[in-house]
Amino acid sequence: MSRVGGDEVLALVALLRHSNTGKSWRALVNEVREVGAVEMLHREHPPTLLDLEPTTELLDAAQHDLEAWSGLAKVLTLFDSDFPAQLREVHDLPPLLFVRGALADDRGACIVGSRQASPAALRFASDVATMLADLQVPVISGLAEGIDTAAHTAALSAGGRTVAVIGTGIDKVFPKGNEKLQQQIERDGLVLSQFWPGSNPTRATFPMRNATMSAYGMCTLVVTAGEQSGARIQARQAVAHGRPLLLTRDVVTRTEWGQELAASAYDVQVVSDAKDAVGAINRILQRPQRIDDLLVELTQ
Amino acid sequence: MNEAQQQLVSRLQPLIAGVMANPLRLPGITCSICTREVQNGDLRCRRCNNDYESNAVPFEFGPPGYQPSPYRTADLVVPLSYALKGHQAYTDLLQYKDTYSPSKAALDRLSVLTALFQACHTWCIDRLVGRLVTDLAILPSLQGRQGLHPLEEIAQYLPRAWRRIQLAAAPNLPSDSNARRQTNPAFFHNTENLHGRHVVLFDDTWVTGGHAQGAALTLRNAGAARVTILTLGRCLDSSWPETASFIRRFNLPMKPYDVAVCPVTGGTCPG
Repeated sequence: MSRVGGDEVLALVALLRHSNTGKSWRALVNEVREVGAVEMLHREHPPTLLDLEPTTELLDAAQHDLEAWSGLAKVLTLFDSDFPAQLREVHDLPPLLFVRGALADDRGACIVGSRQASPAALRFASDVATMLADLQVPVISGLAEGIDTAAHTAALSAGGRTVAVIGTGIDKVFPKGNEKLQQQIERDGLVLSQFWPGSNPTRATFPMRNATMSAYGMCTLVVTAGEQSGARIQARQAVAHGRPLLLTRDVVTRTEWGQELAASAYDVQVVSDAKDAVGAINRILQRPQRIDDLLVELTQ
Repeated sequence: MNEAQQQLVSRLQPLIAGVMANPLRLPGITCSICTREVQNGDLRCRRCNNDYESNAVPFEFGPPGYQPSPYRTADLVVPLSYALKGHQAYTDLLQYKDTYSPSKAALDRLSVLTALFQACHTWCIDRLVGRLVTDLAILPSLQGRQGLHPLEEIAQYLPRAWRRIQLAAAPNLPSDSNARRQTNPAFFHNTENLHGRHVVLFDDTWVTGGHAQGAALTLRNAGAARVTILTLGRCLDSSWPETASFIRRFNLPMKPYDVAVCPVTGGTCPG
């Protein structure tokens, strides 16, 4: 994977947005990842006697898109050197990102939970976010109501860095009430969208967004959640990514999935209060060096 | 294993439990060599069977105390995990060695997988094959990769008692990658005399097994009495309808990964 330059962006947009390959989005992305977008576009659209350059029209349409988006956001593909490296680690990475704000080499923690959260849960989320901000650990969330809003807001007020991974196009706001917050994060932090500009939220976009969020963070903390909530999806995605998962006692006692995950052999920890959660996150961030030591100890 | 090691094993296992998946060894359902699915209750998948049978030699007597195998491909193949295309284990096997953006998380997980095998199942190879492992060879890349291969870094967690031998890619390989997938000992170059030895050949991903079995033949040509192939991931590609239905039937990848399942037998460790 060492292809860089404008051609890959163009080919990727042409492939994903204008070309009818009959393949699923995911299958297409997986192949692009292994062979590159330019190569893939030509494989899918080989020249024929009647049409010697079947990709011209597709590339023109993609060029038109990129021009229309140029004022909206920075467009990054997985082949760009400033594409977040931790996203390349996962099996379901977004091939394209629309970015507003400042990119950085973030090693942060995701804080997620219900839209309807109790005052105690909101307090938990903002306490964790405040402490992480003090430790200069970026706070990652999804800019939804409830826990997400509490986490972003607390991180910003503590002068910390916060990253919002949103479930709409980069030029959309959902919910409307978070318009100001979104603008503030664009200014002081980073907003990421993997969806085409102009996209509204759908049932499909939120789980995709959760996968990207899980991948962007070094771990996910679920503060409070229901049996069917989106946080449950992110919990499972974090496990499947090999990212550590933290659940509050509240999640474990109130949901069956929380109970199951807490009792499983997966990398799941249960935390009792905000301080406990921050301690656990801190230990996770120091893990990579410790793994090497443990392995040497085990195999010497 | 002592108590301290046991504790290390239980601390390390969760780090790979959500990503790696124990291969299944079910006679008539999975290949007795590579653990992919078989057809019609066969013992081996088509590719493994073909490599196995086309490399059989007439029975002959060797020097005292040593009986050469009549089949010259590896005596044993041990995949440590399934790697389903489109899932994290498969991505890890690509990303740990990505030249442009290598993943430390992937390297860590594959190292944990290897170290846990070393701590829990090293002896299982000796027991099942019936001879102690003496040497370790790392399967060289046939793509002309330069510099130290990241697989070398993972191999440091294999037993120190295994003497490291050098196996290299032969010069002037076919440029077509499909041609290189043939099982061909001429693709590899070895200078050591391996007479009577048991060599473990270490590889990252098993797709068809062509590279690994070709190298196993190279080691046989050098006199190796036993060859075991140890591979991190057995790739499963659901774009093959038979593989897709096997994956559905057993709801693969089956997780969490359990280090207590012996990768040599697919069940309990050989006695």
